[in-house]
Amino acid sequence: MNTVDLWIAFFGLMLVSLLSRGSFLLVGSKFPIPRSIHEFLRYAPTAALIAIVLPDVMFVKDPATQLFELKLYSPQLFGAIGGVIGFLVTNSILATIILGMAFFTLARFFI
Amino acid sequence: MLESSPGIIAWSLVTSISLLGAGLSPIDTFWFNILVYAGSSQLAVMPLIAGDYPFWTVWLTALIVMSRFVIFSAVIQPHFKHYSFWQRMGIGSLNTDMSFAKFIEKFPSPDNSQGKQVELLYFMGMVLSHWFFWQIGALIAIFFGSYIPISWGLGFAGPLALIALIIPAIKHKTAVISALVAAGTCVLTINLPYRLTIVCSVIAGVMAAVLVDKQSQKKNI
Repeated sequence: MNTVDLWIAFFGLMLVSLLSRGSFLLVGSKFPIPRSIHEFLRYAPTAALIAIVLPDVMFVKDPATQLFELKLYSPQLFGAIGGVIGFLVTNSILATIILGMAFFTLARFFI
Repeated sequence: MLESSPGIIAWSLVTSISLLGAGLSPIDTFWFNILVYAGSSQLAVMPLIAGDYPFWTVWLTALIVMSRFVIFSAVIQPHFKHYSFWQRMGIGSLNTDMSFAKFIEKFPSPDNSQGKQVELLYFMGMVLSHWFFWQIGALIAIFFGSYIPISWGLGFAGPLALIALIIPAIKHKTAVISALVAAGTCVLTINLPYRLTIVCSVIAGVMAAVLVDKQSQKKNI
């Protein structure tokens, strides 16, 4: 894309970001969500985070087809195990990252 | 809030390195992060931008990738409904997966005892610091990205930071089942286009929570 097209694309994408993040926050009082449903939407963030993390942990992307393939013997899986241990022991995000990266990096040399 | 900064910076770093790798110039990469600020959608549309696809394809792709934020905005709406239109625009505009999850972990219900001011300060402090760390990561990628070997896998710090947010949220039976269903759905839908697996997993995880709750209510009667 040339520079003008690129900036048109950027501004459109900026609107998409604002509208998707704002949507219910902006018009929600006109479309009230029943309290009973709202109570269950609490489970949405964890489900989203799981769907963001799992592909990086349990799968590898085939460079040719761009499809995810299950791969359970990988540095990523060992890294994730290290991260889980780090969190359970210390309750800290930083320790999760450090121990996870340590496990991941060690496993990289052995796998 | 500062604790997750290594995860955010690492994630932003690898995101911008792949944007640069796809042929975006350093200055365009900088503005792309400032204006759009949505890692997953930026990565999804980059091949389309590089391939000169029509605008509507680019925007529609981003909209589908961002659709989870429509659900997120519905969840935070009762917390912030008494602010004016433009204030709500400002509150929502910098929301991220991570800050949303942290906020709901801290304030599960809109009627909390600590008061509305605390909610707003917590949320804004978090989204602003996340925005700041994201831009730091992008700048590191722009200036030093070519010196960082891909094989180090620094981007893995991002998912690790999220693991530290997932574990504490899975603390009772309903949450465990909801999480397992979300994980199973993610595995089954992982190769859907537009990262639709995220929205599918969210819907499945929430539905599972509804069903589990109905079942246990029946047992109690």
